[in-house]
Amino acid sequence: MKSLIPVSLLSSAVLLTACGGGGGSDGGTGQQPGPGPVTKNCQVSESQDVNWDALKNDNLAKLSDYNLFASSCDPTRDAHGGIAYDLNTPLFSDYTSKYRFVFLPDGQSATYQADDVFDFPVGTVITKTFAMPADTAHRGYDPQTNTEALIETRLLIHRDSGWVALPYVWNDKGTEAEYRPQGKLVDTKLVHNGAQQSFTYAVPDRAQCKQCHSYDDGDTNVFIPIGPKARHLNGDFDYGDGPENQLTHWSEAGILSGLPSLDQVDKVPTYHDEDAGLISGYSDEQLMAAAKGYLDVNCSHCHGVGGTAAYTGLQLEYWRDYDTGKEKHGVCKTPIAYDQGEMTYDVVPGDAANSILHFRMDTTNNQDSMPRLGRGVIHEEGVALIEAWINSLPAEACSPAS
Amino acid sequence: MKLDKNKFVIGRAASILAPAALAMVVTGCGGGGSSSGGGAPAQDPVGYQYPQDMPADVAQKEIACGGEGAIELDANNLTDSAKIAFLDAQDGDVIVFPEGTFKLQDTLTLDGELSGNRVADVTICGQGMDKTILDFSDSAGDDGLFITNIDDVEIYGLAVTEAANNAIKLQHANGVRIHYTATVWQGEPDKGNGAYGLYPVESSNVLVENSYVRGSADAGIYVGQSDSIVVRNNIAEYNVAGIEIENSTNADMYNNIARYNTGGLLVFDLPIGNDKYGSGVRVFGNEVYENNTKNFANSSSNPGGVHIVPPGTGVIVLSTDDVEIFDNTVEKHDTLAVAVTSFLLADENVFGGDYDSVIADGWLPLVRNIHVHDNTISETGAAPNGALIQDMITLFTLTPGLEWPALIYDGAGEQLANTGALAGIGIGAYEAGDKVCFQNNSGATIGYPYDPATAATMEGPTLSPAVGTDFLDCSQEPLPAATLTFKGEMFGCVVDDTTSEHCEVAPL
Repeated sequence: MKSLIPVSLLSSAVLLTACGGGGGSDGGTGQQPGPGPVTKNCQVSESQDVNWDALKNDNLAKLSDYNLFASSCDPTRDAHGGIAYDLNTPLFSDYTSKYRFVFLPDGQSATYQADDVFDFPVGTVITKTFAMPADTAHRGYDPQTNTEALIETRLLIHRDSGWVALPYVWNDKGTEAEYRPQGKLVDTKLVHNGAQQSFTYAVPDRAQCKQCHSYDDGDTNVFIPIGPKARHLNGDFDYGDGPENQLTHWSEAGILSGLPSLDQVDKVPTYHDEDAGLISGYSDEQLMAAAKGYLDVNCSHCHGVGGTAAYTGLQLEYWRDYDTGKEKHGVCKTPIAYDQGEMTYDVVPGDAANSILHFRMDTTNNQDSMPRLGRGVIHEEGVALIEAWINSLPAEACSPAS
Repeated sequence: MKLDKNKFVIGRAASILAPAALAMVVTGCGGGGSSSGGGAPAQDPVGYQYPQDMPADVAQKEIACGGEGAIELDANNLTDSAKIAFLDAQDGDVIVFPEGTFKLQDTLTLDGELSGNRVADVTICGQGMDKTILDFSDSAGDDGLFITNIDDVEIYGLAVTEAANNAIKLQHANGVRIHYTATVWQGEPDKGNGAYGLYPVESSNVLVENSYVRGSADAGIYVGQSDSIVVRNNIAEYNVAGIEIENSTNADMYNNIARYNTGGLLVFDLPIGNDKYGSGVRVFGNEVYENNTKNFANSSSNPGGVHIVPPGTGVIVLSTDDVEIFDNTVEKHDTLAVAVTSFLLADENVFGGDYDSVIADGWLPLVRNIHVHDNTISETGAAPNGALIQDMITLFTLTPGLEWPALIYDGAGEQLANTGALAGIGIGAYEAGDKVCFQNNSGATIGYPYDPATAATMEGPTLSPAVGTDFLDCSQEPLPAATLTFKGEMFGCVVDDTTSEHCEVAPL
């Protein structure tokens, strides 16, 4: 079994300045990160052996009990055999930074799927940590500063009975995460583009996790991962030796089998917040690809075949062709279970301001806002992308007369 | 005559009264005016109490919730405590909400397939619908309770108030019993209120009884895309729609009070494209009165949304087959006591091509085999209004020889079918068993804008309005009672209810 040695992460340089009370936590539920050094008692594991048995069977009280990471304070690096990854365009989660790792049992690999999430073997663990930056202009988690505050780490574990999601919520000091199946509402502040926003960040409960992580084949309703699909992973990541294609890296590391030549693999273009300034320079084709990528990763797990909102008729998978599937993209389509009041169609080509899809992204009223879960603030850059996309679409029957 | 439905221009002509057709009758019409809505005393916007006239057997019901092995939730930390109990729900669990008024911070979700095998037999109860009040006005979530993927779930003895979206939603449940439960949005009717109160959808074996629903901006009780349904002994007031059965089969709606809503009782079948279409609904023994509240639903382009409901309407059947409406008391409605209509009223272009795929999916815009009989109907039509039927109001009120009726049947779909215009979708002339029949409704007048016996033309149905008391006088076979199975026990009129009128078991 692992043994834990208490270790202070405090460096001597930090010690010199830490005396003035650089503590980052306000002690309440609110995460109040600010720049400056932090004093933490972290525990570093001597053993690098992941607690696989527990992962397969038990929901342990503390994240560190599974020994997935070297430090109890840092789920963003030094994973015990886990491979870090990123998505070309991430799902928006209230401007948090996300740190993802995938852990596979020794000698096993996931099977490549062209469109769907990879087929991971039983025993697979995916960790995803959400950290709130004090200011989105300064990202990057460092346990010795308060640039970002850890909020939650979600474990997706492929057990014998299927996938489960276990939410772990970090304490205010960021020294340990505790199992909270019921999730948690966290009063949060952040600065984005120079403006401070206050909102409630919702760590979903386990049943809420499944509302997005859900696939219904008509008979049964099963839990599935969302992100690890070929098109989202088909991009570069720096594992320490410069940028490298993630799929190639996974394949060479032996955790992915069946990867075809990369030119056969679909690829969602990257769109990050800093790219919003580039929108005006996008061609219509670039806009279409970027918007479809964004809608795919943010919406299609519900608004897609087998998803909990497939019945609405709005189905936004990246692979779905726009020109032959306009109605599935919401074009001139009336909602099936929603009355907006003034607006008629999900998407009115050329008129984002009268498109329900845009409206529901651009509000935090919880009667109207989409996605239903996991968004407490408006994603300004996402709204800008979708607005530009809708306005770029060729006119259709429901478009305003020119 | 065989018409190509794609070329058949029903749109313009089928408009129940297109502007051209109306030109001759519309002269200086100032509109039907709208009802000031309500007619009932304003309610205290603070706090919640159920109506003083709640039947004694409901109001004074001894609620037993708890007992050995029950899971008692923590009154000091109710959101977390309830979430954990819902997440851990196992077969046979009884989850007990304490007495008191509580602010819940988030949607309480129970997914019975969260951990492998589907959970069955879960009870969620409180100490009474006026004693355990779950207030979601500060919740971060949209729905109040959301329960899904479960068999035999029972809810009683609690109230859910001020949810942002739906109060209690159940989806993919087989076996639902909701009783002695209230869902409430207080204050004046407001489109910002939540959509549905009690909301079982895509479910089967659903029993909703002895409950109270108020203030929904859509339907107070809405059972949709479901089968084997009994909704009885409830009070629905100040909702847009009091009680609605939609795209569902094998349903009984009886002994309810529906009052002060925009529309009292609705039986709808909408083109949802989800392979779930409705038929087989009985509506009987209900007290339906003063449903004159202005329509406060969000407007919408959905042609079948409840925003179309004309204020002051008692009972509406929209594009549903096999409906029997009998022995109801329907009184004091500004507009109509009973409206039976094809979907042409909601969308005149229903045969214009846009609906081809959903018609291929099994939906039909028609009403067939409808029997409205032995209802007590009075004081109807004092101030008919509603945007949907404004043309029809104008037609009846301004055409010499006509008057505004208490009961209406559009007749448009039947006229098209009888003329052979729908042969392209496999629909021939109405036979005796397809007819829409009105009998013995205490002398209430019946009107139609389109006489089913008149021939339609290539342009669409032919306007041929008439009003009388003995129109459409025919009879249909009684529909069978709806029954359902909950926890292995059968429920329904004449099954577990053997004392209500219409449900008595004849002595041997």
